[in-house]
Amino acid sequence: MSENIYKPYLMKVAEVRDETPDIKTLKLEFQNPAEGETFSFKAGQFGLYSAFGAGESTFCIASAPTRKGYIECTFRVAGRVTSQLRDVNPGDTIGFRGPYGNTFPIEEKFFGKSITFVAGGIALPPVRCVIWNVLDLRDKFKDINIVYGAKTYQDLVYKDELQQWQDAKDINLIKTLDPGGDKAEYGCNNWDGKMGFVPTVLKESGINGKGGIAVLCGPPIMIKLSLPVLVELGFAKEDIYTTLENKMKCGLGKCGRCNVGSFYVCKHGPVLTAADLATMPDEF
Amino acid sequence: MDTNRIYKKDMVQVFSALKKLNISVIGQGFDEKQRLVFKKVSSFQELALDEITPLQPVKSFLFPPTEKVFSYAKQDEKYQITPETSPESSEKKVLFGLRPCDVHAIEYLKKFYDGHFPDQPILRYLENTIIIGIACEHPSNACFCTTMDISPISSTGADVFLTPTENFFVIEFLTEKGKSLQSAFSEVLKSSEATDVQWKQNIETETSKKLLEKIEINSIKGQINKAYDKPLWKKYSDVCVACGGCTFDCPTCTCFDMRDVMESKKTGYRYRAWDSCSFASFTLHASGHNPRNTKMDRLRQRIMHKYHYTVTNMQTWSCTGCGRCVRVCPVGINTRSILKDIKEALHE
Repeated sequence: MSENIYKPYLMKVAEVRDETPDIKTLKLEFQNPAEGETFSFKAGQFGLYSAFGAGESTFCIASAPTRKGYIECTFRVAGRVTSQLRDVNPGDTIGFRGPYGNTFPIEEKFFGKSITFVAGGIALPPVRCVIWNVLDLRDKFKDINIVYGAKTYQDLVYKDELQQWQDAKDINLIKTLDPGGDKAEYGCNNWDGKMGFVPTVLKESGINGKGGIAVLCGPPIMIKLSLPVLVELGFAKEDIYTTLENKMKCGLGKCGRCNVGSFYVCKHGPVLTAADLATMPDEF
Repeated sequence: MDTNRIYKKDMVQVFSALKKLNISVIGQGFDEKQRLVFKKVSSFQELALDEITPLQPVKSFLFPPTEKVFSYAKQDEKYQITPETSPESSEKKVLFGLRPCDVHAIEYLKKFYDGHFPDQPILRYLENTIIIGIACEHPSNACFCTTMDISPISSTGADVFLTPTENFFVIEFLTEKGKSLQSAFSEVLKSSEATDVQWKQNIETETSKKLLEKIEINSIKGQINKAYDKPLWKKYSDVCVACGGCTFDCPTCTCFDMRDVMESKKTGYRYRAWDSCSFASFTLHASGHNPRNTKMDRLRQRIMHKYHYTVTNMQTWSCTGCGRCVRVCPVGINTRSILKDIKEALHE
């Protein structure tokens, strides 16, 4: 056990990608390769990323555990820490603590089933980790559906990967923009996806949820509106997974702010089912 | 059990024995501005054991209000991170004359910080601390320990326990840590008499008369979340000024913030500081979304946390009935009344 649970790993920034004008992806490698060797995580886990002098922020690990040797995080520039992280360059050093929290039960519950991913905007990163995990083990699953939407074309993250998923014959990708999101001013020309909000598009998707698994992630309002649609499509509440994010300072069940009732997002979550969610107070 | 008497006139020797062992003593006394506080004392006379408990809990000696976590320095484009270990955390100390409520609070802190991922910086303080509890003869008018199932003579969690009488203490050495002091005190330990057990009982009887009436809340243990949507919260949150006093003066409040300080272009440190669930910023997301957006949400969180969430997660209340939240509240919110209201609401 480390002498101080709050001491982060030092990570070398290997790559910086602009996803949208205010969303970035960092690819990170362990500065000390020995730490990288022993490090492992599972889909759904998160970490706290340090910009020294500014503080720490919590994001999921957006890369897949099936891809070793690095981790990726994707974040929107919103506060003090993310503003400093926005300005890092390849070769710079940041801190990382993790992996924390529980995981998606991929082997235990997902194997042998159809999987439907539903995400909105900046919520694709936590789902993307699961998507690549599932795609890297493609023959273990039946149908793969991905429903992803954003406000505008400009707000879509992982555009290259969306194209890859669209081109793949064994993936059903449904992408959508909110009404008005396909204007040229958003860098869009010839939008080949749907127009409409995620819950609406999901409803009209023709996806059959019977016996399948759904992984849902988005802003609280999208989660609240999409849940009944998933149930309507035939998914059992116990088979609808989501991942919560609340403000955290420790990630270890101590700092006291991420709880939703008795449920601490950092240690009991972040992954939970719609059935779990139904028992919790509306504090997320 | 190792029970003795120790005469008050001999306490000088007790203090010099502790000094010889390099053990500092923390107890309640008056500071230079005549405020009742927990402080480092060098003699028995400095203690004010006949007072009510200090408003500020003793936790600041185990979980300091602010403490460095690590320092960082950038050299040749590489960072160095050095965990900070406060010298106070490895200092041997005795908490002298802690009331049963406060001893229970430390038991809770231990259990809390040791669970899941052990929080070594705080556990180090606890490891090096010996707790000398004392039977409580002087409750404040806000005390409700018995409601929280803590007797004013409970020695649970103490390493050594004192029962005061006019001229001497009945002293019990309860744990290995406590027994480590036995030889240091040997010169002044006198044998106890069979009737000495009676002193403690007398205190229980007398103190119980002074305490506020016990509210029977065991019948609603594990059910308190059912009061979540009841109207009672608004009555209290309407007057709450969200000052956070109830949390900072609470001996079992554990929440903290972590922040960075940039000292120069290349150096700085991260520290943690007590934080409060009463503050809107506590849960505010960078996006502007706040899961506990109203004062009512936050007041309810504090109560639910103490009386339901820790019951679910740790099988214990995280309240000792010490009454500090009641004493400090500038608008007179009384936690005990909230409990009463919850009980009534659940029985409606």
